[in-house]
Amino acid sequence: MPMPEVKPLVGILNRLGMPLYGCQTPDGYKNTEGAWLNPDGLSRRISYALALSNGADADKVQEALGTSVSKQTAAIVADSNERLRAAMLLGSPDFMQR
Amino acid sequence: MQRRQFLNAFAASAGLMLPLGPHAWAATMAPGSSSPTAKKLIVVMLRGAVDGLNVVAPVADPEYARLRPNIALARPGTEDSALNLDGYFGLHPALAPLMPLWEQKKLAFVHASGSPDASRSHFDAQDYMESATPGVKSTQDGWMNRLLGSLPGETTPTRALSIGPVMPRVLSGAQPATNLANGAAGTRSTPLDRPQIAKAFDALYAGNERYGKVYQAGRKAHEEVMAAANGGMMSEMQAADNGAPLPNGFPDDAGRLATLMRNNPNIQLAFVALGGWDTHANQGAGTGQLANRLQPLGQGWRRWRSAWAHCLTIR
Repeated sequence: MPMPEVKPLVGILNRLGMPLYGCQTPDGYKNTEGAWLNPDGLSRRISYALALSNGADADKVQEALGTSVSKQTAAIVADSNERLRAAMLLGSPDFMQR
Repeated sequence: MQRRQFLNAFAASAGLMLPLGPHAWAATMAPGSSSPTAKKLIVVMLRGAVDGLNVVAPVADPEYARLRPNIALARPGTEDSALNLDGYFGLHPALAPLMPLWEQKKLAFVHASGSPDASRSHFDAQDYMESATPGVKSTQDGWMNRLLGSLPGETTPTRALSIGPVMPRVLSGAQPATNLANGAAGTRSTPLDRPQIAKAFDALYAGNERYGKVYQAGRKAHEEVMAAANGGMMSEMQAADNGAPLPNGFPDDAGRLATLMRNNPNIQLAFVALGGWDTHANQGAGTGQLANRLQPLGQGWRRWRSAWAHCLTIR
């Protein structure tokens, strides 16, 4: 997919703690829970989900994510304000892990 | 210095003290309160291994000038020369803001101390500094997180705070800690501050086994940080700068950290890392690359001092 505007993406990578080519150590960014599961990191990812989902169709997001969204999450999302549903799916606990 | 000795010194000390070997500086303060978080510790890690012999330089040793013909600091009294500490050692002139602290006996240097592991890899060496287990790479947590777990009193998510792009190794571990982005972004409001959005996400994370507690800790920490940032001291800090652009991000972050620590007594441990100390080439002497790095460090430190002086005045 062509990327006409890279600045927002670079900004997001900075805020999420993965500045492009900015890793301090030669072994690259960590892929462990310990490095990323902290209160601040989680809050930032939720903020990003809110920004990313602005105007997104929650049904299409739900369809794309399929079974990776738990029934419990799907139920809470279905019960919530329509404009927040896409953000809730992308910022849900289910979306915080592989 | 052994970790145990350091902790003893930390626990026993009153007043500002203890730069921590070649990589780090630490400070503790006891404003005479009985609160378990009244004694503060700030660790500044100078990533890349600062050349300690040009920060606190043995200027009176003839070997020093002989062995460093191009980069030795000049003896006190000439242009860009070292500032006299005790007649033998001299402080780099870019750290002039720290001299009043030295004169008041509120500053000490522990020279030539560091990790016993002689790894030539800066990355391993830094890792050991943060894990405090030299030679053992498999340690998962950092020493400040372990310290957090053994301190008396209740630990809140903001008891330990770091400023930087990600949670540093030194604060990673089982205890909750808070990481703030550098610059103004660290104390900016987020969408989660809006009640409707907060309610929706609270419902999603309530009772979640893996993320529920971390989510709650994040919400609480952010609330505390925002309350501290808007506690009336921030505007004063900005006024003191006269709106002048700062030469470097560190004094700015140091000022923000001082404000947060004054306004939120829960904050006890703080960590800031500064890069760019790997001055193998073009290090310079009284001026140059190292001087350019040291200058904002001294400015930032001075801000902490002015904040604490204020704190003591209140007391």
